[in-house]
Amino acid sequence: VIAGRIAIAIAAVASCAGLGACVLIRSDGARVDRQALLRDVTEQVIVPGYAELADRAHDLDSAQRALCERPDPERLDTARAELARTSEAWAATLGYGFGPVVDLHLEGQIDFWPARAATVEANVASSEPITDDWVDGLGTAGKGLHAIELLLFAGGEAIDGAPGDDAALAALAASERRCGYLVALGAHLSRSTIRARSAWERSWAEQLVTAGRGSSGYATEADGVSAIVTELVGAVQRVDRTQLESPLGLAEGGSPSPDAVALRLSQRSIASMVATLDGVRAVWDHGLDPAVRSRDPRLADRVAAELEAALAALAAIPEPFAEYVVSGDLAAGRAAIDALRVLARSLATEVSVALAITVGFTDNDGD
Amino acid sequence: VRPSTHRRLALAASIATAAALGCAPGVPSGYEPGEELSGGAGTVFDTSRMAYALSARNLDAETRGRFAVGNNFFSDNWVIAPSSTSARDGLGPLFNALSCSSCHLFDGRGAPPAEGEEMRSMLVRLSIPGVDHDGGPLAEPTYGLQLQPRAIPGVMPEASTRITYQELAGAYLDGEPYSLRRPTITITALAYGPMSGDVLTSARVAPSVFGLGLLEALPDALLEALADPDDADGDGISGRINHGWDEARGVVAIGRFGWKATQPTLRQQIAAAFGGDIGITTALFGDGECTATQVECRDAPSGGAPECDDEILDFVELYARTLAVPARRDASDPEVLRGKALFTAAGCASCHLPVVETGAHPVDALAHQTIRPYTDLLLHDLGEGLADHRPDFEASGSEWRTAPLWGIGLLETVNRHQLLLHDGRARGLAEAILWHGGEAEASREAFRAMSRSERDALIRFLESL
Repeated sequence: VIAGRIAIAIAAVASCAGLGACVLIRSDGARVDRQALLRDVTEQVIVPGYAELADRAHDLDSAQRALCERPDPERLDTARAELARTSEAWAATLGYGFGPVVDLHLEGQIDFWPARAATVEANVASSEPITDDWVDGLGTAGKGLHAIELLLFAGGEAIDGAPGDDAALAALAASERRCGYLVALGAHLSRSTIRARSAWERSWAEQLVTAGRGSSGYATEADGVSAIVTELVGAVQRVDRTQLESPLGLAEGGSPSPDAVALRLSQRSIASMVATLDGVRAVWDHGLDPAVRSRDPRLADRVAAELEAALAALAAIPEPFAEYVVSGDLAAGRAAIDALRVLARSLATEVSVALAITVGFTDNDGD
Repeated sequence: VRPSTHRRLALAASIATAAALGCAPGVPSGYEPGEELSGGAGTVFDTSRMAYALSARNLDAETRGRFAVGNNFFSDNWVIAPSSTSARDGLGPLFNALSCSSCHLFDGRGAPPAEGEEMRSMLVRLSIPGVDHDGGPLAEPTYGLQLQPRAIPGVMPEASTRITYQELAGAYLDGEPYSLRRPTITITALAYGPMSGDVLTSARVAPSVFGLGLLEALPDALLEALADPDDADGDGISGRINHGWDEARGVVAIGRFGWKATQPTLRQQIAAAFGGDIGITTALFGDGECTATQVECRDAPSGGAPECDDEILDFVELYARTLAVPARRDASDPEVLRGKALFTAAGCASCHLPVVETGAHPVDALAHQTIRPYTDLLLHDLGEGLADHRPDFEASGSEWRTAPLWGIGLLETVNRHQLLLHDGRARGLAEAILWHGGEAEASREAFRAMSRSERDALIRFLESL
């Protein structure tokens, strides 16, 4: 085939006879299948992600009940481990944290940060009967993952003590009210995660999968894909700006601030950030990568590499992160921020162009 | 009756001023006083990177002011509608470039992309066999007349393109080897489904845009006199006029712009580029580029009807008309004159006509100028090597309009490359000559038969243009 007479359905560049220019058209690179993207991300990532979160929250609830039935170091360790698993399961959902967690105001119920020690202690000291209604009515500063962390780690008072032999265990053992509050928070967290899971399973999954085909939530497929990519960009930026830049003191006019480190007491700060990036990677692997790859394999390869680079850079930051931020050597933190920004830029620009969608505002864009 | 080659050149000479050519039959190979003035009285003498970007010297003050406004619209990016600027919104939805100047950088010439990169100042024309209602190529049903690898948010770019090359070894008759690179363009990621099985394609880089008003001012009668469609004189050169469709007048007209001389007026050439390349509608082309299957494209916001109004089009037209031609350098240098003689002897000047005279033109500065564009604006069969096999109005798949050579010696200075021919495959003047075939095969072989010294002299002459 020579010049303008075209070979259709050629899977790879083949030789063309003659001297003239050769034009090959590859039909294997078809249109971006947004329906498949929406379906796969919903069914393979989002719904399983919230199911995993609900399971982990249930296990945390069970572990805290067991702890309060008979406080001992082993059960405290188990509860703390379940808190870490639940926190990381939650962090993994941040890459697709749109939909019911926003519409049902669940985000603040689960992940209000920073929890306030004074509020937690006031709730411990309260004479109100501990019921589900009472916990539901509490302010968000006194419940959720971070309030539980305060109770399981005694506000960090004995963080250097041997596991199970610190002030937290003593305080929980000494106060039925404190332990009852902890159990109530675990149950509330479990209920909140079940609401998120149920909302996705009952209606939101269908809304997203049928975007542009009768969905009342997303008028077009592009709207659905845009929601996914926007949240991915927001999750990466949140790790960058809120969880790294701010505590490292690298924002303009900032200074290193251990108090700005989330999950400081449990020393799971970096693990939580890694979990968020793992969630981003799951969305990428199960939906965006195939779609982008169908249009631009080089871009798909590059973004995959940028994801791995960001994960590696995050993992290279040592725990305890609260100690690292005042260590004076912030090279690893700076490298992670750089890697995250490269990734966020690719997602917000080239990936969105490849998918023909518009990235919307995220929580990081301000008012 | 078509004049023979020598008579043809003499015809051009007689049409041009007698003073310019010295009244000699045939083509002078010695120095001709004033031959530095490639663009007539409007010629500029800049040899910097701005050499293609200046206004003709002989413009009046008012026209110079309008030129500056036109430059603004030529250079600045168009933006997505709706926008706070209503004058330049309406980009896309599908497009190749954000502005005229992004392809015609410094009013010069585009280039093919590096291997692995997307086309930036190059595009791929599309059609299927047959002609449309005005005699032009029939649009590919799904992707239209031009592949657009870029789109505004919310609209899928049509496809991706990549270019690779295969080296073809050759040798001059003195044994010195050369290598030509043959392009392979791969179109991938078709966003709107497969293309028609009989699609025809033609990859083209953006040409330089200076001197176009002077070419527009060449009288139809001159082109008709130069044409020899049936090679009646038997010299092997059969220059043909391409006839396109004049949208403004609604008539068939002599084409003179574009790689295949399909556009009869500069205004229409600009409007077609606005529509095809940037996705901007004009009064001449108001329908946009979206095909029936490109639903998101058709539903995208418009920047108005038309998006580029006649006043803006007037400015851009004036700008393109009055971009000056740079003067020749070293025209009297003995080596350049030796190359000039070889150029003529090899028959190159038969099509790359050295000197012609413009006729009347609405812009006074362009009228009745003796110019040296080194083109006859006619179609010539350049052989299989350069053929795209995509007919365009009356141009066959192997015919191309003679490319003007004026200013070509400053290409490296202005655009930082010397990638020539319609798809930029030639890496310099010698390779461009070596790709010539068909009617130009004898000239190419004459070049191949020259000694190294002669070839260098001929190239030196071209570099002086």
